[in-house]
Amino acid sequence: MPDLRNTSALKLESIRKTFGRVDALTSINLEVNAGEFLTILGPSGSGKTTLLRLIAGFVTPDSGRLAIFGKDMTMASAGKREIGMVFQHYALFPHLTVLENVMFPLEMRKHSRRDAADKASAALAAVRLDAFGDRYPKQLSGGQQQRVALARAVVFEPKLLLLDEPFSALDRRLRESMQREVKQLQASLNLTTIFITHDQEEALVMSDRIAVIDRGTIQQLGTPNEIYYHPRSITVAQFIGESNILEGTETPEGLRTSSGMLLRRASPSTSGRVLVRPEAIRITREPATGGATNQFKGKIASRTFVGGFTIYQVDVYGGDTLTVRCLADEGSMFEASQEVNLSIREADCRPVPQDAKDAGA
Amino acid sequence: MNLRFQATKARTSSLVLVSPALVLLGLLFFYPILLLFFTTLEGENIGNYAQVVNSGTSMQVFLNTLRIAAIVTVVDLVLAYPLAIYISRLSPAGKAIALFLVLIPLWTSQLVRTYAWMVLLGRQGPINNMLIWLGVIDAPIRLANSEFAVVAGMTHILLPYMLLPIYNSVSKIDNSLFDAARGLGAGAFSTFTRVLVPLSIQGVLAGVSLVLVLSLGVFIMPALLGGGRVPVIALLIEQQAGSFLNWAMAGTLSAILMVIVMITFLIIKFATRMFVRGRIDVAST
Repeated sequence: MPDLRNTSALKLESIRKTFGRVDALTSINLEVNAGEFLTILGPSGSGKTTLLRLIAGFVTPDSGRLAIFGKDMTMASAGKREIGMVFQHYALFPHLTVLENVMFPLEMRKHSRRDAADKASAALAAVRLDAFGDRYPKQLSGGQQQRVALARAVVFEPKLLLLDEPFSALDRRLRESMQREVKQLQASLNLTTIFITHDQEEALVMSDRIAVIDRGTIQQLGTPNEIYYHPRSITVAQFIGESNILEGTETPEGLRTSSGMLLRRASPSTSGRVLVRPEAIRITREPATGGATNQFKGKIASRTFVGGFTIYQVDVYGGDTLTVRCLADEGSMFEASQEVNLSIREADCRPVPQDAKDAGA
Repeated sequence: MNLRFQATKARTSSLVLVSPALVLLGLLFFYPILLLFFTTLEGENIGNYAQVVNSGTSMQVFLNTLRIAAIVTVVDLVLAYPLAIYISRLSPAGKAIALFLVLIPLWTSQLVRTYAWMVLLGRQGPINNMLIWLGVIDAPIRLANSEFAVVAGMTHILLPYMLLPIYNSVSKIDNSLFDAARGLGAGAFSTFTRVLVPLSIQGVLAGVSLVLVLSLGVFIMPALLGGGRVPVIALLIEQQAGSFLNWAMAGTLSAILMVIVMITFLIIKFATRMFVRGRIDVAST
């Protein structure tokens, strides 16, 4: 099997898994490079949890192959895979102290108690919890428990680190600092990390690459930029960030939407669909001066103030309702039913291909 | 109104609430026990106790009772632990059915179940017939009227008392802890000894104390399934009271049995304290 002998940290080939009559995963092909931070992003029910459990070794695939650093692990038990995992609710052992929790994987690997204690203390120091070794998990805050779980997952120098929605139980501020901390630890250990989440913002912030999964298949694999600006399907476009999807027919001048707007775009769309991100639309009182951009007049339908920016729903005269996002400026806010001008650059009207597996829905 | 006054008031009102139960328990339970205790001292002072302690037969019966109770407890533990784990992994509907099946025997009279065992274990009973049909034995063997029959019956009747507390504590364990243990390199044995047992030890000890204490006082099973060959303390007490009308001696034996039960209970209680020390600390902070 020469194709398994390469440097990819994790390689999944045509992985398929069915539960009863439900196809959890239809055909997963994925390669994760060594040292990479890869996010598996998908809504609930997309199959991402099954994929995670399959990588971890808690379920085995019906067919397909899984290799870790070139070694076939398709049927290997979880303990044999040398994967450190942080569970959604941390799964710390409540009857063991923090230090004993971190020592656990080392003791299972027959390290001496002394050695295990030394290594575990060092791992706890790395997450700034060395003073908390004697406490029990319940005596710690959510963020601290999370860091213990992280220390326990990396203390035995695993080949892969798996993170299962680890930040979902934390409040916003704590989540951001934990995201930074995990990123730093991952980078300093040069540890290949697979991160599971349904939070697209988190995925964009943390990842080297993102695999968007839905209906049991990977819809798109790419860098955060690629995924955000060049979604390969409507599903991906709608799942990542906010989006205006405009449908119509292609004409030589541009896309003529069914509502009658003409959108000039840099390249023609084969599917008759164009994606415009809300922040790519400029909103002004006076018609914008300048050449080849798309210009529309419309009326503000609603305004949502979100602090740093403002979101407007604008009814375009003889056209669709567009979502517009702009930086908040106390001096120049628009009021409901005020008339405004919208302008969109050609390059920001991005053609979106048809969903590859629309028939499967 | 200050806080202390409120607290005192709350305590008084809760005392008022429990008083009917206390009076009932006192009259129907503690008073007869006290009476019994005084009976044992009548005329003889502690002579009855000395007689029991000095009598080889009585001590033998006490030891035998403890031995049978220990066997039943161990067998029930070995049977109930895996079963409890199995039930905790079932679907909600499966759990409901399994627990219902566990509870049915508790709703059936002990006497009925004992007679059922007599039928099962009889010379012409299904077990003997099956063994003959399988060719394991040529002629019926004596299954009833033996210690085996007593232990089998007691094990069956007391199983729910072991199973339910263990099931209760096992089902409270977060399943991701087992995944975590496996993922961190623990095999089945380590997962059992390092995660499952410590996290369910409270239920195990509760089950053990219930079954042990109940099996020390069981009467019907040894009487009907033992066929006079299995001397236990409950039979001895019944004999003293029923046949010899020696109420003082029956009371003495009962008092000693009660002390043994209480000591057993205290030992297990102490063991529970030791095992779950860590988590008690956590709860108190």
